[in-house]
Amino acid sequence: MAKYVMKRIAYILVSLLLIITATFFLMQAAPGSPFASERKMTPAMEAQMEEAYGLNDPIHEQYVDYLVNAITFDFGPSFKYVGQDVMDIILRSFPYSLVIGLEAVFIAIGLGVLLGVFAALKHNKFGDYSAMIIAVLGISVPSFIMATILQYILAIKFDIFSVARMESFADTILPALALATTPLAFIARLMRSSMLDVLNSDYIKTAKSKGMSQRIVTYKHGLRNALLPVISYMGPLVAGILTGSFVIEKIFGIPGLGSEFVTSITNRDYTVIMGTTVFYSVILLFCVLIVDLIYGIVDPRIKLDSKGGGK
Amino acid sequence: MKKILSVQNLSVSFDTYKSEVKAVRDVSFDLHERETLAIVGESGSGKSVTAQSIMRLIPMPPGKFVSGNIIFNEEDLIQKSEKQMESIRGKEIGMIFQDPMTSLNPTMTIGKQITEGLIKHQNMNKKKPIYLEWSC
Amino acid sequence: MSQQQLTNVDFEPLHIDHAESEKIVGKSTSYWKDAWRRFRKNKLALTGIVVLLFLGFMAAFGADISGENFRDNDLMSTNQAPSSDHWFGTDNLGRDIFARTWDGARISLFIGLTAAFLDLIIGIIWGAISGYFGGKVDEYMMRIADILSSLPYLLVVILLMVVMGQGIWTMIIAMVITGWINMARIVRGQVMQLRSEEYVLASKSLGAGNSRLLFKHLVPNTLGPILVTLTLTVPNAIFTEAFLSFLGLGVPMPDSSWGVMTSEALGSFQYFPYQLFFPAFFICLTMLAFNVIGDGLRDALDPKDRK
Repeated sequence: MAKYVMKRIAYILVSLLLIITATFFLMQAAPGSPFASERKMTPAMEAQMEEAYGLNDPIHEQYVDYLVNAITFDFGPSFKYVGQDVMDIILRSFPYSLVIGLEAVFIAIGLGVLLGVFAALKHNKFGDYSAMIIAVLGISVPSFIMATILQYILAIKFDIFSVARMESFADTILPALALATTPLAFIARLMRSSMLDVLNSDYIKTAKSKGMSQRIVTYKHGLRNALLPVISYMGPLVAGILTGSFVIEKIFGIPGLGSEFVTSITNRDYTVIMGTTVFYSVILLFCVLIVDLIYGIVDPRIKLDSKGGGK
Repeated sequence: MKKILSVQNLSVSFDTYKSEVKAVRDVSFDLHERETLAIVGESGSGKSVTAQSIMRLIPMPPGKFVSGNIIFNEEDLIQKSEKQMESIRGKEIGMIFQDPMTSLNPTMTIGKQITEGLIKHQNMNKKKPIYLEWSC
Repeated sequence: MSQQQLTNVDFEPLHIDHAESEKIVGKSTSYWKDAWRRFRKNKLALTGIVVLLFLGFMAAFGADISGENFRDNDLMSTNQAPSSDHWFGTDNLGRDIFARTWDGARISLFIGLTAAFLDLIIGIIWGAISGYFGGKVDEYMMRIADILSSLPYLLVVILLMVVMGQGIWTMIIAMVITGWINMARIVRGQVMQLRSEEYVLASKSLGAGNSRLLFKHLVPNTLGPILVTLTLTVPNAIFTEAFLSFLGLGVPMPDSSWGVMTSEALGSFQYFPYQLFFPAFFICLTMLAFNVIGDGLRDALDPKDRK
């Protein structure tokens, strides 16, 4: 187990190195100097600025500097906001995104599994069809449209929630709901087909032949096995919620990392773009690792120590 | 010798979109106490469907009993409710499936899967450990 | 214990009337016939096709029907509600939303279909090479795909757009750079399977030639998943386009797309909700149509889930 985790962490580090390298050189290739849009800047001032940010060093020196600093989570100062480090911005905004993201994960998994199991148990009946129509609608309505609809109906028309404020827990519900819609629908469909597969499998028949009741067969034998595909969907789920936050936070005016990222793109604030990308990658890669470890615990068929690791 | 099981003119069919597939047609046999009955036949000849019909493990629909009776201890199993069948399965009639790779729950230990039936039917205590003995 | 005497007579096979025993099975159908039968039964998927045909027609001719030009701004009639003059109303520059919607449809559908098509080409080439050669080649090619896919798709697309600048083609390229991986994996998996599956061996041992293997085994097994992935790639690309346009990274002015229109309408949607409604509605409708068709194809083409 420990050996497996070490190996996986080594893989993560290699991936991170590649990601940092790729983003660094991509940003080098990006058009437009970060200071170009600044008005009334004399060439002398610009040169001074570039000197101050180390932009005049040879590219390989800049790269090595960046790499060394990135190890300690030091992504340098922001180009746009004078006196702010990239890490300060990330640490300030990330908690908002984390709260909403976690809420969305719980909503998506909880309701998605519920809907999927319900549909599978009512297979080919009215309940199944309605649940699956809800799911296909959920997949077809992009999160930013969902966010606008929710905002319009619940916040503006009925005044149940506030439009764009981040003060109390209630303010996080709408954005989390909008963020959760698409993954919720995906999980519901995944859960339904996996539950149907499981309920048709031989070991369900075995359990029945021992005289176990329908309830025990469905929930004790069926549910656990049917949940396995949902667990492996957790990686894409986290990725989806992460990127979904870009638009959702913009719509709801949440000062989270997603909106910081979008702002940095519009501002061409390259250090923030790079820092945020690396930070997102770290989160995602470790989430995937955790998911694989959970999978190994839940499914005894997977031996984590064996070659190739998880499924 | 007491007659334990009597299958009389059993026919089981499956509804598909094309037609009705007659899997078991007019099968009759008796099984007495202390008797062993082996059913032999080609694959697809209906052995499994017959056996699973006795246990009422055929999913219905698409399966259905067309005709016949399954008399077990002088009672017709076809007439039994699902709840009544639960106390017969694993207690009065046992079944051993062919392929252990697919017939056993992959996320549950074998011990648990064996004791689960015993706990239910033999009123064994969940907390008291059950020692399984075997020799091989 | 009573023991019956068994004699040789007991092991004589029973008489089987072969003509009779054949009657239990229905007529055998080919894979495609069967798939078509199942697809036809799926009302939702058929509706999806009709909706798509309608959208395609409107994308081609819709902008001309209204007699308005999508670029004409009429500053005398800005932000008008839908009327007989402007069926879907006008936006803040006085442009006719009906005309803009169908012009946007053209671009959204073009991006979706082109991205899906390029994904298909690259995916098939990459997957087939990887699966055919196997071994080290396969390992390296798939490791590259793994690393690319370990990053969130949208994040990669956004970064590429930042570097390459806005434009329809840069958007398509950015989508394809990461989008082909799914397709490549499917093709590779199928090719690998074909190299090792027993049914192929069985078919070969029965004297099947290469063309028979190709058309009776490879094509039906591969085409299904490819077709399904393709249909589901299109809505994904349309979504990505809308998402990027929404962030201001999408289709540049003066072209319109549904994403651009949604994004423009958002600022004032409390006052002019219809400006948001039409593009948003058609994004959802298109994605819905492709999704139900994709679902229908998957159900129809997967023989394991027959009903």
